[in-house]
Amino acid sequence: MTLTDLPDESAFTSRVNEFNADGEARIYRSLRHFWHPVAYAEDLGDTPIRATLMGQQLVVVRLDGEVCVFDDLCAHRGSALSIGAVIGGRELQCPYHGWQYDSSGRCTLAPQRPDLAGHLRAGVHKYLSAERYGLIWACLVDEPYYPLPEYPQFDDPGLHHIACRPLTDWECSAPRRVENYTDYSHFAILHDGYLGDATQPAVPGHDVWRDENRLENLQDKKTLVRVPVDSAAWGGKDLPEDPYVYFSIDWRVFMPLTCMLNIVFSDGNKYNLLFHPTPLGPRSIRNFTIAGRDFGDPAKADEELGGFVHFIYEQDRPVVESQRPEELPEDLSEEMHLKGVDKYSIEYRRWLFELAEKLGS
Amino acid sequence: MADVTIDWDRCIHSGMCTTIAGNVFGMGPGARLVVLHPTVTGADLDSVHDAAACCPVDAIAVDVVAADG
Repeated sequence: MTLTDLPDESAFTSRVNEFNADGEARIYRSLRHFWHPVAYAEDLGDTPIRATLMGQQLVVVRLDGEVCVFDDLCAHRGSALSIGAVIGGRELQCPYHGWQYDSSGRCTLAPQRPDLAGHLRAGVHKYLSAERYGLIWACLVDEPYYPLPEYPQFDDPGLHHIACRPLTDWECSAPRRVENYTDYSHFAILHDGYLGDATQPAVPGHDVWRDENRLENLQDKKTLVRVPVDSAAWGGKDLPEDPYVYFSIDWRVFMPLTCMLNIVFSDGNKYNLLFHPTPLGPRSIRNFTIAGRDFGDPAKADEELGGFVHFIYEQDRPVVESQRPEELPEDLSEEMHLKGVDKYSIEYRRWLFELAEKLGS
Repeated sequence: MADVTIDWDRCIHSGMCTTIAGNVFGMGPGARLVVLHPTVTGADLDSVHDAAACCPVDAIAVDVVAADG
């Protein structure tokens, strides 16, 4: 296609992205209706741990073998239960006055008045929770709008999975981060040499469509992504003699925030990621990431795989934290979109805004 | 000569078409797209085809109804 010349310089517009407080708040509020990881499962031992979800302080604890997520707030004097202890594997004890709670959240004992045991009308609010894919998930409403995401790769015995560390918090909105995670066109530029090649910035052909609760992206396998082989980032992988490594990358987002990426190399090696930017607040996220691969030494996966993920994240971080407005602008015309390049982003925003309209009031 | 129509359910008012075919498309109040000339001829026909090809959401239809000349 040969484009005609622009008519005159007035055609170039300098955009000022406007902050739509109502729209942003709607998107953020809607996130309450979905599952979010609040901790890595392997971090939950015999003691309670503290978590944050959308501004709410939570305590995550195992009681009677069940993962429980409560408000991190003792009913007696409001102290944090997450700095308390688990008694006998069955009760969560407040560190201040020793009040105890069972797995339902009901207060079972105020040690100063044991005669009232079973009669105290006190408790802590319990949230829906689940342990799945190496993550502990919670939902702030009783009926999540969509079920937990599906991640069958996690159960594939041929793949070795790790919880990626360090677990970092970023100052950005969760949807901005999802869009960053699922954006083909920055790979070759921002991740030149690692996820792409700056000499080949064109985006591979790909299809985007909705399927139940997922927004799918399938790459045309005739156009593989090319990365220089001297990248040390793919540690643990046997590197070919060819100066480049080739791979295809497909992904889906379980709306609105759970990203799953599948990378298949031209030699058949596989690599996948489950990523979820849990909103700690309107402008703050925690980057929960489970990564799996079928190559390399499993004993070195933390260092090699986790190290690679962290390296890529730190390339993304300053860019995503710099984006304004911080939330995705609810009006699609506020930012520019390129045909064949930004399709996933456009469709993601459309769906996100539909959910915000329905659930964010 | 061609008729230009917009699928308003798909249009996101990105304004891409206004930079490519400014004689045919413009931005109205509230930064909403407006079609200035729904029927185009001559050089505008080329630019409208370009605009349709660059529309990020494929919202522009160009229906050639008669050969120019």
